[in-house]
Amino acid sequence: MDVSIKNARISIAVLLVLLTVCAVATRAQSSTRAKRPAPKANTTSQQDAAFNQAVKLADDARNAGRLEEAVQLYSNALKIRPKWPDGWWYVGAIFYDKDLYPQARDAFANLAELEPKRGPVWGMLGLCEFQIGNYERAVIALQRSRSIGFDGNKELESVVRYHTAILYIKFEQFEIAYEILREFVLIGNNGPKIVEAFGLTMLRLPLLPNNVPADRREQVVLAGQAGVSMAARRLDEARSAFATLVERYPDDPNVHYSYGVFQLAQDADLSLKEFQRALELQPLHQPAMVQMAFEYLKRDQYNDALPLAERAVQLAPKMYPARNVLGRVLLELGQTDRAVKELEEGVRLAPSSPEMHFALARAYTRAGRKVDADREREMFKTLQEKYRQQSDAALTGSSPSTNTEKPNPK
Amino acid sequence: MVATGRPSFISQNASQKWNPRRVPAGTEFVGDAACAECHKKASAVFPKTGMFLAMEPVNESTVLTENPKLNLQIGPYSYEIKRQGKQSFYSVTDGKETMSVPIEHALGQGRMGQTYVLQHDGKFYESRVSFYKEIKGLDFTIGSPRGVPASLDEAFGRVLTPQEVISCFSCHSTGGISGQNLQLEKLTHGVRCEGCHGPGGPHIAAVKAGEPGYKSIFNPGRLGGDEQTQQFCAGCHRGTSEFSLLRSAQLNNVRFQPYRIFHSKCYSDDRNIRCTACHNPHEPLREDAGYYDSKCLTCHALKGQPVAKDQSPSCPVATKDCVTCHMPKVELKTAHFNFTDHYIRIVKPGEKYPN
Repeated sequence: MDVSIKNARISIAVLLVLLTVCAVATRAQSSTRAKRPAPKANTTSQQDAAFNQAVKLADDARNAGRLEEAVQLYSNALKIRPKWPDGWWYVGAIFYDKDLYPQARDAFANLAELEPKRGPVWGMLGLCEFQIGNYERAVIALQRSRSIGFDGNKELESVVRYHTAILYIKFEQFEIAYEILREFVLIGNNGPKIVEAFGLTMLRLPLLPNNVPADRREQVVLAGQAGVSMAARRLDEARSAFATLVERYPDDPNVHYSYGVFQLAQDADLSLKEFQRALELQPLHQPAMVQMAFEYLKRDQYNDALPLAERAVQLAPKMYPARNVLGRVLLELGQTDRAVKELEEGVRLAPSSPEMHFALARAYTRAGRKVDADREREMFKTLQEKYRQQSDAALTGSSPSTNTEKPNPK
Repeated sequence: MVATGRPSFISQNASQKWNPRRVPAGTEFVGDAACAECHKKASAVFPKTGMFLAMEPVNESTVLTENPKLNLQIGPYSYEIKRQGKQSFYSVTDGKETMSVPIEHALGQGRMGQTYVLQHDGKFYESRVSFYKEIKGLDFTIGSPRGVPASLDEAFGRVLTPQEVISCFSCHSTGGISGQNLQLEKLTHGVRCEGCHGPGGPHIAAVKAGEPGYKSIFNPGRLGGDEQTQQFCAGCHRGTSEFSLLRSAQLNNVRFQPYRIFHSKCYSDDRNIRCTACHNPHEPLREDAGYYDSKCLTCHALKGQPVAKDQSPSCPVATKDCVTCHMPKVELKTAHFNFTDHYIRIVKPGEKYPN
């Protein structure tokens, strides 16, 4: 199933299946909470009767396809019991199905407050925010759903993964987007939508797929094919796709940059040339500076790395990889105090990056700050383990779904 | 806050540093014999070390001579490594077609096993199967997919990228790399003196001229704790700079000692916790657990003895063989070998391998 983003809808049937999944999860979390909560001691029997009647009528209306009436009846039930999670889910689901995203968002937001540990709820909230255009809120909710999990719902997981990736592309977090998209490739999904998203990542185009200008579509697809092959480690295919891309678009700095990144593991000298070419075409290409600095650091050419890393930090002070490489270069040059400052800033910018905590732990170690080094090392270990668990879950907990937009009830 | 780390005069400056994996183009090595003229003691036992034996010359290979015929069947693919005179041949066939090449590069001393870097049609391959001492036979190379290969080419091995080829030869040989290029005609098997210390020519010339020798040769022993462990030794033994590799490695990462020891509570820049605090790279690896007790007791108090102000606490349980509990052996089934986990810790019974 491959629906355009503009018309992305999740059918009511899907959402009802999701409800079942969520309800199971909810019951698993709390054996005392039934799908239809038992009357509480402080509610009157009259209220209970009214609630049960409203729910029954709402279910009947929903099953008969009278969705507007169902929403009204569920809303009546929620007035009696505002903390009834399933009611909010039904209301949100029906509103979502009718493209009433602000109303759906409000319902899922209420539910998220009631049940903050249910990944599918955050996923739906994120998708609503996406449809409304609240992209920052959307990506936060979507990432939260990814970190909690989807109670086994592969379709919603796939849709959320895709939307998370394209939002990171929009926010120019291309490396994060690449890692998320790689999860699709690792489970065998390299459909057109995935290729397109990879293309935007490779070309570092901060656009949602629907906003790609027609005259760039061919380039996006070609770059996407290179990206998919690179992510799948099909090196010959990737090399061939990059060669075509470079030949057809020799004046695009990001083409040279992506080709350079690909070549880092194959031929680092060629990578340096490609990054240099990117800088010739776009002298303020900050990622190319960072990559070159990392390569020089690897080669112990600290004095070559230093000006590139410093300039990269100057150009984009909030990009933590630049802080990482600058801090590490300074450490090797014996400028421990400066190194610590850069790496501390990197950790502040990327508190969940194990690489940053590792680098800072080493800098503290060199500075003789044992307590600080111990703290950072513990943080590194915790994050590394968390990353590994997420990575394992992404690889083993998902089926090779081809869906990117519309969860399937099966 | 003022840094209180190692004073800079102790370490060597950047221009004196030597990175075995980054040999500058045009570097000339004088060879072990020239070093042995003065450094007799170190040279006497060095040939028995794991580093010296990191690569075997095929014509003198102990592993290949003692195991003249090795076979393995994986699905429809039959593997054979066969000795013929001073040569060994690596072959794989699906019954219809056969790929067969003489083995030119045998990596590993055979303490655990041996993997082969093969050349075919102008490409370098990592052999799909390796020799393992424990089973005295062949099995999948660590890291290779453990299933039936999809094609004969895949069954043969994994094509190595130029970068990977350089990595193989820079860690398993001396002089095989110049800049970013291979120079196999100048390769010496294994990690020799100059592999870690850099070219000896200027050092010999300086000593002969009556100058102090230490200024003209790199000495990893003078590196600080973290620098030695996480940079110098980790260059080959793998530290945390290779996150992507380590993330996918899981239990396999027990093989990467610098990465593991970094996790330890007692890890620091202190020279008492760096690699050479416990291991003398000029001597064969000590396998008697008791040998390492004195290393632990450099920092920790002995059970029953008062703990001095600058000492770490004593073990409440034992007085000897510290490593047997605190650095447990981890069985890596895919390698048919028990590795010492360098993550020094209080191991809890039944705990999951801590990544």
